[in-house]
Amino acid sequence: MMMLVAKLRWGADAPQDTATARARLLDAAEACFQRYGVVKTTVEDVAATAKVSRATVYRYFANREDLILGVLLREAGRFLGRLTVEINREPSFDRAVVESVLFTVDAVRADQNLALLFAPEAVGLTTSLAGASEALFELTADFLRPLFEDARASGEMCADIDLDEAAEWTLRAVLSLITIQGPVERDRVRQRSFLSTFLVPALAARPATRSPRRRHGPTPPTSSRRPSAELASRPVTSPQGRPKSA
Amino acid sequence: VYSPEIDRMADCVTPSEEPGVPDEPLYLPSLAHGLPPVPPADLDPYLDAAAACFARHGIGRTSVPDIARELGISRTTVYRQVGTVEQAARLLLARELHRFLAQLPAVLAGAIGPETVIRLLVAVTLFAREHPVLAKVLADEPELIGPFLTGELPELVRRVTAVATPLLERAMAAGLVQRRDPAVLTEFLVRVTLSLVLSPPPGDLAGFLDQTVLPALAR
Repeated sequence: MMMLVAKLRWGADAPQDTATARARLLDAAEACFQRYGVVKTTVEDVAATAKVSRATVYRYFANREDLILGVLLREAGRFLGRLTVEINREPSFDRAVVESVLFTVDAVRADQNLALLFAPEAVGLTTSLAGASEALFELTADFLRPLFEDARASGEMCADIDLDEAAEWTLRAVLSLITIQGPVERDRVRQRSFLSTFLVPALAARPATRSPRRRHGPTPPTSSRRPSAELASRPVTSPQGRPKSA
Repeated sequence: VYSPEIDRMADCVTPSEEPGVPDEPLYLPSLAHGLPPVPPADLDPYLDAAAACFARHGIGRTSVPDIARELGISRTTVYRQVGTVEQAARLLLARELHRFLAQLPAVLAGAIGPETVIRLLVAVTLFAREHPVLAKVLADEPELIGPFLTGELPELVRRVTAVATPLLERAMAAGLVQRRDPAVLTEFLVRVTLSLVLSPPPGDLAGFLDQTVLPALAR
């Protein structure tokens, strides 16, 4: 009976299981994104392309946003396999981080489907979906965790950063570079130096802390110039003496 | 309409009074160049009315007659003063950015340390997320964000850089912040802020930034 219902819904070649059904709907969504653009694609379009009813699409995906996220996650999953090969080539943790971010940004721009998701009219939608997506974060964090754990074991990773926060920070760097090409177009060398300067310090052990003497704890504050406690305890006042708003 | 929020943002960032940095007057480059130009103050009522409509209906669903109705004046006057809805939106953006930047030197008077930069990022992020127009766009019109990021962002970074560079250079000269190219550092800080505005981190914002941004700034 189930097979019969499925056949009625999908026509002659009904998918054998949920995964196949989802995959076919994602294929249809990708075809629609190519044809109409991401923003203009409707659930109706995807249903028509897959030759099913709209209700059938809704059985597998809650809405159009869920379809977009589905395409993103599927492409990301495929991509991470290639990235593993790339990371294993790098001689150090610092380089592995920088090169994997650059490789990812290039891959997204080169990928037919991903490039569409990050095209100007779609990028706001995609970024807010991607940033809010537990699933994309989990995928990234699961992928990076072994790299981070190895680096922590070898003393190359900063001792006090939480590994999930490290993964989130890396994902944000990737999304930022994909989304915003930047005020200046950078060549490869400058991209590398940008990442080494601003992404790596959060993740990598500081050179001084790599000596066995200091490896096991965060560097104690060495200068009275770090005013955080002092600032925090100071009463909050408006510097211009303007009255505080209610 | 927005000055109480900017005041509140200023309240979040307490200037540090660390010794050792001379309190020289800072050169503040004119913000009136480039696109979109900073609108004169007499456009404020038009921009306030536009902002009220944008926050209510979204930018895409606001028309010039809506703005005129909000003010109780003719649409011709609105067209003559601020142009189309898109031009009004760009003028509003220019005004909000200018208001924010114009008070940075005062807010950050005295020494800037890495922690001050973090506090500023937190304050800007909260300000942006709570801004009624941006909140509406993020919720209902995310398709407007992409063209902004590609179209207006370079000019936005240039304007932030113009104001932030002398402040950061002073902090670097005083040995408070790791020496970097101020323009590149500013771009990094703008990227971080946009990332936080577009997708807020789940936990404590300041704690997250202490872990991630501080190491790139601290000496």
